[in-house]
Amino acid sequence: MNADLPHMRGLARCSRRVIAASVLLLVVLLGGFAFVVVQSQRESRESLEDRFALRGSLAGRFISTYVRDVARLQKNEAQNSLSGSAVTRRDFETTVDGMGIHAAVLLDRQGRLLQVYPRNPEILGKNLGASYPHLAAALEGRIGVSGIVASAGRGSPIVAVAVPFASVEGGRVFGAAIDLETSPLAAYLENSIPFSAEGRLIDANGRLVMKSGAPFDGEAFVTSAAIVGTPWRLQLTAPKSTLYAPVSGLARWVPWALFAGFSVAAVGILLLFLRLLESRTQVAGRHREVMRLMQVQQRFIATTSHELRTPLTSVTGYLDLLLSGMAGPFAEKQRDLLLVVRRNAGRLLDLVADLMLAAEIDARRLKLNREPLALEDLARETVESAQPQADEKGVELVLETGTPANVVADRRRISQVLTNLVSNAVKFTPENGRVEVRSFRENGHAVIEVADNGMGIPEAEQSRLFDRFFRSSNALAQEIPGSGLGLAIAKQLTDLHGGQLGFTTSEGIGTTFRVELPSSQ
Amino acid sequence: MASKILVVEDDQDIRNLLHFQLTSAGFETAFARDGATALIVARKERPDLILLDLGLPAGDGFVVMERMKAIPDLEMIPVIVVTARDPREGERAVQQGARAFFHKPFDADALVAEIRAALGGGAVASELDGSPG
Repeated sequence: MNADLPHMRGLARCSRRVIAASVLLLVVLLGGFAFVVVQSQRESRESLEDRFALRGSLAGRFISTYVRDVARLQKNEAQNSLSGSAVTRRDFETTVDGMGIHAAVLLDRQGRLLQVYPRNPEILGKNLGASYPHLAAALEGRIGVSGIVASAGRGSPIVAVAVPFASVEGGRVFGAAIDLETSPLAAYLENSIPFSAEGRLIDANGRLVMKSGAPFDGEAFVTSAAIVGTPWRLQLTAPKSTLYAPVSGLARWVPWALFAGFSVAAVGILLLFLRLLESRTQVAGRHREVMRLMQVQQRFIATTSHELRTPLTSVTGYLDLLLSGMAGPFAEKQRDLLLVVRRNAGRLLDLVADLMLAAEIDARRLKLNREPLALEDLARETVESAQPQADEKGVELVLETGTPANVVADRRRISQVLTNLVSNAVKFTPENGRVEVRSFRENGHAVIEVADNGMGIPEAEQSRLFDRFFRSSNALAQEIPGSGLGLAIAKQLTDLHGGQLGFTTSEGIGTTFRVELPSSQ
Repeated sequence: MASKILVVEDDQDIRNLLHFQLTSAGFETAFARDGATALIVARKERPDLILLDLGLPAGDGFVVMERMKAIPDLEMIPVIVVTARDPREGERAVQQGARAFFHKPFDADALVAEIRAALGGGAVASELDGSPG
């Protein structure tokens, strides 16, 4: 392809601009997407930390609900069983046993110890309200929860819950010890903290009330929440690595994988687009180039035809003048020689006409002037005009007609096809031979057959018969004149009409050419 | 008086050939070798008919025909085109007012017959292809 052509430069400039714009657009798009991905990851990091803190405070609330429920149950029991004027030791122990607790106290409204379990007569009547903050809180009318107050024999942590309740005396406090080992608190704690986090309940003195989850190494994020209504705090710890990749390590790469996939797809589409553009540019360029070459060829055909015909006009014109005797008389022998010259000038002219026609067909410049025609008439005209040639050679030339067939065709070109075939048949038929031209209609086709009883076509040459300038070995051996263009042109003209030209041959017996044209009737 | 034919032809041999053929058919001849001269000679000689080549220097046959139409003295003179160009060009010339066209090499007898028909006001088959007679 010639890149120096002006239109190619224009297209190249145009496509460079499009490429630059596309690449810029791609970079902006990918950059924007990358920014969004990074930003969303950062945001998700922050929101994860926020969410972790929220989980902490929710867990705190959950646990304080538990404490409140424990206190309410305890208060109801105390209200039902321990609100009479005098609570006997037996009543107290029965109640405490019924509640399934290991230790309990009952205080009057001044904080004096009315009952204690397990039994300890020495401390009865003592004022405990001042000694224990959770009891003091209950005496003031609130729920009191202690830190770790003691360990039971097995070493399990004990906390105490004290509740105020109404009695005939106007108010009492019931305090119960809770063995954390057997209380549902552990389950509450375990269920309230996030997976992979460690949760610790710590009392006001910093002592561990209860913990859940396994400790871990590495960077940790910590949040803590007060357990409302208790002196406890819930401390949550989670490793940062799990915080930042909450689902799994792989999930973190999902946006980047998407990003990479998108990038690859976008680059692929851009490349495809450029490829398309390039091929379109090339196609446009080739099209113009082909058009230009066709124009060049058409000019060449026109010029060549003109330049060959002008001198031939003088050659034939002056020969005809000479032969007419206008320039004076000449001997018979001279006349014979001049006739040879004249005949060959005619051949040259025919060749020029054939060459120009072939070139026009090649340049797709030949336009058919189609008109409705009776094929039989064309066949008759052809036979009539070939009759002198046949007579001269002593060949019988006959026309046979069957069902008439009409075609829509270019009269001059179809005549040319028939003339070429009939003239060939006569040339290749020996003296006293017979050439039969048959015109008929068959299976919707208009058919003309030209049958000779010449020498036939050797099988090896049959496939090349319609090649331009191909001359059969028989033609060469018998010095039958011709350029090898006639059949090639006949075939091309038939093709142009949407018809078919074929032949059947048998060596030594003859050849039949068959033209099939679409019939209009 | 013999009819005068103006031959517009740039090839000298063909001019001479036409001269022989036309004079032996009893016509007088005048000549021009290019388009511009053709118009000058035509106004001076007042030919009865013009044989016009299409490929000419200084204004081709189409230009000559176009100019002739604008000149009152010349517009009625019949034109027969004789050309070696593509027969389609000849057909175009006929569409633009030429009486007939002959494709080179032309048949002298047919040409003379056409000229006679044109001068006598009659009509003869006008299109003959290049095969010599």
